[in-house]
Amino acid sequence: MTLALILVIVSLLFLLAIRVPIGIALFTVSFFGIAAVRGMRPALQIVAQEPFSFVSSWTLSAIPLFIFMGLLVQTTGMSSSLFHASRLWLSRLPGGLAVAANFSCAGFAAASGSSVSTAAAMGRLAIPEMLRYGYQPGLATGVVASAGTLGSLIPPSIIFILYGIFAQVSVGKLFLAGILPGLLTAGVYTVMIVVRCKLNPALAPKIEEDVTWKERFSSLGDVMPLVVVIGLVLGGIYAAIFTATEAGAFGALSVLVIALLQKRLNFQNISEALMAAVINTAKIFFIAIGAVLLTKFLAITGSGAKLADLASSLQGNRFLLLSMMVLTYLVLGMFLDPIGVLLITIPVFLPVLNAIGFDLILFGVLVVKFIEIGLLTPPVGLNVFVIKSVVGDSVSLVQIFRGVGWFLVCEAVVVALLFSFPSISLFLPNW
Amino acid sequence: MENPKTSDDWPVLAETILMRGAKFLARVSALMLFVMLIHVCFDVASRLLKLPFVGTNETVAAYYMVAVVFLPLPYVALYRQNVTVDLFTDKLAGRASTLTYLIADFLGLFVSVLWLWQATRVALHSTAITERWIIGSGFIQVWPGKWVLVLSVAVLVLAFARAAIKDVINLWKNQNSEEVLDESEML
Repeated sequence: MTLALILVIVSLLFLLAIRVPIGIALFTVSFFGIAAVRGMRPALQIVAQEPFSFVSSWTLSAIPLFIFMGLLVQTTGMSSSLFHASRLWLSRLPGGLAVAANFSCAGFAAASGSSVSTAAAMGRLAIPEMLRYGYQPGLATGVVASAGTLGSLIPPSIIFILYGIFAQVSVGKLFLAGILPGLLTAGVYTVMIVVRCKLNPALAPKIEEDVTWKERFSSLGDVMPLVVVIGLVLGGIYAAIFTATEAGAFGALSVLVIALLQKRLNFQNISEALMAAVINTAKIFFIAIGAVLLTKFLAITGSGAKLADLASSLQGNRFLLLSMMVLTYLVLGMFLDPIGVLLITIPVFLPVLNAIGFDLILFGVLVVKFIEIGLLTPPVGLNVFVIKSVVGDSVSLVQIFRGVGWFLVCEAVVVALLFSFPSISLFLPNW
Repeated sequence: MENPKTSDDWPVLAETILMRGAKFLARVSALMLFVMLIHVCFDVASRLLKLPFVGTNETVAAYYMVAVVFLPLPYVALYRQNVTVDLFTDKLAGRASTLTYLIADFLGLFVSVLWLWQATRVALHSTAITERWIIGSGFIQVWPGKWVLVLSVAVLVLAFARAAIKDVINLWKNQNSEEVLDESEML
């Protein structure tokens, strides 16, 4: 069993390294792993049954609906209203545009379930504006790359839905668990930006423009309906009026109605959002199907149970086990897509977590945090590359990574707080 | 991609049909997503009005989700949109780069052929027994959803076969296989 597990993991890493798509690599190694240990017939049976039975799920249908909702906010231009309003309200603070970009990302994250799309959408709006006002390029790009990671933490979150399915934890509770850590992260980022810009005003020159209170309040008119929808979606889940799927459908329909009333809706932006939503959904599920096969491999071969036994024998060294998991996430997050990291590791780690009795909701929040930190760290740092593709040659990759460095320090503070005070994550779901 | 000009251009014609077929399937999937959204919203409204629909969960699971997830798979494969790790192969060029694509194509072909075989076997059995799920006092036929999977994976096999043929030719001619995707063309 142990040899089979090692061979499967080594083959998987090798295939990933030579650019084989994650879904195909997972599918291939799991199939051969099961066939080698249990024979061809069980392996074929799993290929016959599992993909369909995994996909035909009511709970998982929340994923395409939330992806569509986020894309609709983007294609109908609501994300630009969000940034415009934040800018008018916050631009007088030291580093005001960066703070506005940070809160716009938090707001967009509440309508979108993905970090990369949050960074891409807000990067196109906020970074050119900050550079135009003479903001230091590292700060301008670093804030959007980092605050983009809130997309996976602030609900709705695609990663939370997938984690919930694999870990058999309530998706609604995970959504609630992500709210306070997400707001805490945005808050710590804000403090860091304001303090840095106060101490070194050259980072973010003061914006000399007269904005009246009337303009400020009128900017809220465009974003308030979206804020109300987000409140209803999250409130509906919290009050158990909606399931995650119903919340996704209600949210997407509400965004459609708002866009229609605001005369932002046309056939092109609906069809673009729908096409992009199904393509992204197919990409995610192809990986998830591979992860289901890996889970089956671990179950059938008894590898999961062995890992759990190993974890139980190290019960006294819980900290060592958790440190190893954290290290795995940080390393994998450096070169793998976040959903890939989640789906590769969860089947292996879950038996261990169950064996040591770690709270799975808290672990879900921490996993998202670690994966998101991986999105910001070299050599790959997916969010950094997304921002690089937005800014082109005007800012170098090194400048963006340097800018992100300050936000990584903030992330270390947030992670320390989440570990030290689990109630930050668990207060809302347990309330 | 070129348009076919004469009957001798059959490879181009076949490729055009494949690309358009994959795009059509993705569009059907997009339509199904929209219908699913409306259906679920009606279900919520009807429940609040104390006139609940029956079978929304099962319809979503057995039909909409199957269409939304599986139908775009050939399109994703044709445009090399599947998620990969590029860190270690970024600097490769020429034959070495094409070789990595070729390995991925052949593994994709292997996986999809295996999947097609098994999905067809299950769909035939499911049709033979008119597989259904019980909902309330009635039932919902689920066997047609199994054929949606078969159709999607059949086109997926063709998509990987096309990629493999192209990469074998590229390897032979010592050309780079990387395809640049035009986002507007994609959507």
